[in-house]
Amino acid sequence: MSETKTEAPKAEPAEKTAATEASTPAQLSNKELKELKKKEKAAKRAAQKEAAGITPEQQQQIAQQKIDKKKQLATNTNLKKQLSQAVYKDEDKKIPALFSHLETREQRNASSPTVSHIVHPEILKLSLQFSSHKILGSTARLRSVLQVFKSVIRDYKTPQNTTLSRHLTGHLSHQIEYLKSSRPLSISMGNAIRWLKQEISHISIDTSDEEAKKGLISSIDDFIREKIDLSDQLIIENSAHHITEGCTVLTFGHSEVLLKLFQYCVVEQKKSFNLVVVDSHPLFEGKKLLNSLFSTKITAEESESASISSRVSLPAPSITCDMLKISYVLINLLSSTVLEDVDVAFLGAHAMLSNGHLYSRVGTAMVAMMCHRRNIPVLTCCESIKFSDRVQLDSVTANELADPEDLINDVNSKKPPQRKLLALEQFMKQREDPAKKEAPKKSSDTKEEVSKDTDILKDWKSIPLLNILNIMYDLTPPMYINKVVTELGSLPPSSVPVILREYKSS
Amino acid sequence: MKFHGYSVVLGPDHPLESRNMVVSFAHFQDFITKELLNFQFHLIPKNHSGSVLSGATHRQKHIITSTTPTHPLPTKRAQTNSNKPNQNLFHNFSPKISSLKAPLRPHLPLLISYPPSTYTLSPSPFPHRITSHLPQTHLGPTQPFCLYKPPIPPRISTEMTQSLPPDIRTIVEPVVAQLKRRQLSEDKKTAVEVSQLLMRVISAARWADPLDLIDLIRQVGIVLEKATPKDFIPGNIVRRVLALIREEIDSENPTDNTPMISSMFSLLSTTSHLTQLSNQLRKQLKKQASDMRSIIIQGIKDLIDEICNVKEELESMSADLIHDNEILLTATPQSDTVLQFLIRARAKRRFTVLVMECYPNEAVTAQKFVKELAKHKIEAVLIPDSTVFAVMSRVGKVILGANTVFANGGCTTSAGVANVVECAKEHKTPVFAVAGLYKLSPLYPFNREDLIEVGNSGKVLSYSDSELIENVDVVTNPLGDYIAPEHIDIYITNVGGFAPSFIYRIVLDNYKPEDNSLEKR
Repeated sequence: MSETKTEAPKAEPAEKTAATEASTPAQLSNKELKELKKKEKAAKRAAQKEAAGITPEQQQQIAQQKIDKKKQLATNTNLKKQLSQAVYKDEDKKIPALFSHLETREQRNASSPTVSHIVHPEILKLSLQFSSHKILGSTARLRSVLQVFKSVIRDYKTPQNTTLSRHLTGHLSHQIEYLKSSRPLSISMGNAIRWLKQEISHISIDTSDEEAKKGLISSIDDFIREKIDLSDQLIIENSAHHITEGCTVLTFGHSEVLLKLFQYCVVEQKKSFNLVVVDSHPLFEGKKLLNSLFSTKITAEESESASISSRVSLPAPSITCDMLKISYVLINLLSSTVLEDVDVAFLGAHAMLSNGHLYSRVGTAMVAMMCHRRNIPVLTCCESIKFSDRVQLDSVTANELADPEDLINDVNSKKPPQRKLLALEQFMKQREDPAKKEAPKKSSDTKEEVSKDTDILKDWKSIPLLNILNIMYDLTPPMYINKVVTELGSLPPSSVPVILREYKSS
Repeated sequence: MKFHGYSVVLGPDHPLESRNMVVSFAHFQDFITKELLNFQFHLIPKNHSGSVLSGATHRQKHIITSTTPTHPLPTKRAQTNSNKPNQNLFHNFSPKISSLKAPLRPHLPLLISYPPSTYTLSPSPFPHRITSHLPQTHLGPTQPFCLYKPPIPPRISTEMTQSLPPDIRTIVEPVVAQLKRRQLSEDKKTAVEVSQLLMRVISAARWADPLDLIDLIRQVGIVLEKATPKDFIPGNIVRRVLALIREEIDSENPTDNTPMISSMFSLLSTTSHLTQLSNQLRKQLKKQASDMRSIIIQGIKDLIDEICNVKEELESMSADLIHDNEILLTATPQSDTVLQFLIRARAKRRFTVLVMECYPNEAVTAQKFVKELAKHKIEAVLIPDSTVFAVMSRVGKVILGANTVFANGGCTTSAGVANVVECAKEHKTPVFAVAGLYKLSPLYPFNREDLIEVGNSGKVLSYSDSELIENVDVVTNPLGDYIAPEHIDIYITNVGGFAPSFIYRIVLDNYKPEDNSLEKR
């Protein structure tokens, strides 16, 4: 590790603390007094040294060398401290009182270099993708995390005086710690990480690093194949018979396994049916589902057999052309006639909790309830990796807060919110600030309100009584769910703990 | 010389449905709105035609086409400077859309939708192929693109108001035009406007016999109901005024004042007797016409006062319904009555209000609503529609604003509220609806589809999102929801709170059953 790189991290936090102190001179706590004294001492020392003929630059260099020495003695606690310092904490967050116990919205990570000697670059990239909602959805996140862990393990080098099975877990923990700063871990990710750590601890001390790493990577591959791909296939086979020719199926938002199910039913089983896609502001995940369905083409071999003579490379027709009739509604239109001819509702899952509740994207509970009240069977497709031994009774006690700005930015754009990265945002703020100062404060609030409909709540953070609530998940009570389809078979929600026992024992 | 509210609709059957077309059309629209006139362009893709047309039926009602592209469109320049020859609209466009020129010119099934007041066609059933439904009498292909200015106030077709005498027609027509153009957006404004209209009609009309007046008002009522078939407020006001007149007639002739069905005997009484009676009545009434006029007008003035003072009278109820630190949820941010109710309740109680966003149609209104609440020291939280179930377990009461309350205790409100009340039902959360007395309708909601308007489906899936539009079969955007009486616990009106099952009594107090149908029997 080069010197220049290691200088940066320590210098920055130090500067930060100094800056915050300077900005709040009014309250001098004991701690701050101590700091002041320290500074005075340092100044005295510096003066002495200068008298002894050492220039300030040399002093700094010496100081940094000391810091570097300290860094090499990086203990676990030390690393954790650095990690937490690197995380950007939103100071002016506002959460409604009802939800103030929840973890804040994604504490998005500050510029990465500060922790680059601890955190693998792939993890940095992934956490950016998580926080900007580039990768969204439980399965997609799990898959990408496991892929990244593979490269983390590949690039891992066991330090001296320790063994892989002892040190790698800690190393991974740091990566996960950092990843958590982008968004809380999903249930499935938690399960997978637990498995991986167990896997690492099972490696005997005698195996060479190379061998152990190879083994781990291949077992991760197996895990992905077994727990996601093959599971999905089994789930699809288990649930495909619920979609019959000409029936109407309702789904909410986007779910990877459901997308595969619909594709399978059309492409493989050649069923044509109606699909009602229910969607909601602000994430508009239903549009993602629509797009994936549109890009699904009727298989090549079929089109070839249909037109052997004309081998013109005509683009294969999309399955939405004549096989799949899609109607797209927003969640508040659910109460109208949409539900009248729905035969079955399929819901995706973020997790199945041990008390039979379904923890899924916010809105799922309402869809399930509406279907249940109209005697429409509600099915959930959920891989067993998403089963959790947690219990929860309502959506308020544990949840994830998303960015409230999503609700007010571009209200009419009908697109999922485009996240700017934090660094960019900060940069833009810095650029904006002087511009704001220059602008005269003539334009009154009322005038602005009239002029721009879209900016009504731009200043919502400055209104003390105003809050915006944007949560990610909600909890569907088991009474609304008729069937949970897993790769281990179909079961009622009350049997989730049974699966958990089986799963743990295996 | 305004062209506000025009919208040009590109038909579903024209050959330019490619993606590029849609995109360039967006530019086209921008250009039009910025540079020329304030009117909108819509491209209707095949699968949208149903919903867009039904959207058109409610926003614009009439779609008229011109198949000849070479006719000049009056641009702004053309209007201001009549010496200059009118140029083809498509020549005037910025280079961005010049590529459009070629494909557009040969076949241009541009459908121009007019503000409904200009031409009247029967609004339903709307034909599937619009092109087949050209009112050739008004707009032949020989006529230029017909963006000519409509007369202001625009004429309504004779067909609609011809039943009225000409002097009354001139009074009614501007209001009908306003109703059809939806310039009277707020319910309260509509109610006041209609009652003022009736006041003008009564003072302008020449009548000797109050029964003639009743007939006239009924005629006006029919015209107003036709203008906004899914808005019940004008009809309510007309019926209120009719009831007022009838009451006046009854009080002037106390001898004939027989209770509606006082006993089984009166059920069996012959009609000939009744006609005799009414003939007698007519003779008596002729004398009192001038007295009557002032009394009725005073009655309407009282009605207007009542409509305007709804919020004052709601105030007294608030303390009984809300306890300190309660969490309320409201799903109708567009309702001014709810806002006023909450603001008044704040004087006595502290509480938190969760405001549902009502996404496609009321999202902006919801933001304004939340801001307004916060301004009045009420803790307000904006939540997306999907979050309602998640927070319902913490909500103490649900407040709704009703658009129309029917005699059975059901009501119509904005879309999405039916979800909310069902959630409330599941969680056993009380729901109360706030409505002024003028929103009570003596009608019964027989057919749900008749009550609900369908709005612009472009708000659900924007037209510029061509890939999605091409592949989706149905997109709908209903604007309202019907709420069954069992989902509402109480109605708060300016005369007190009532269970939905009791609404029919309140209706009977304010309306006469013989006016339920305005058509002549």
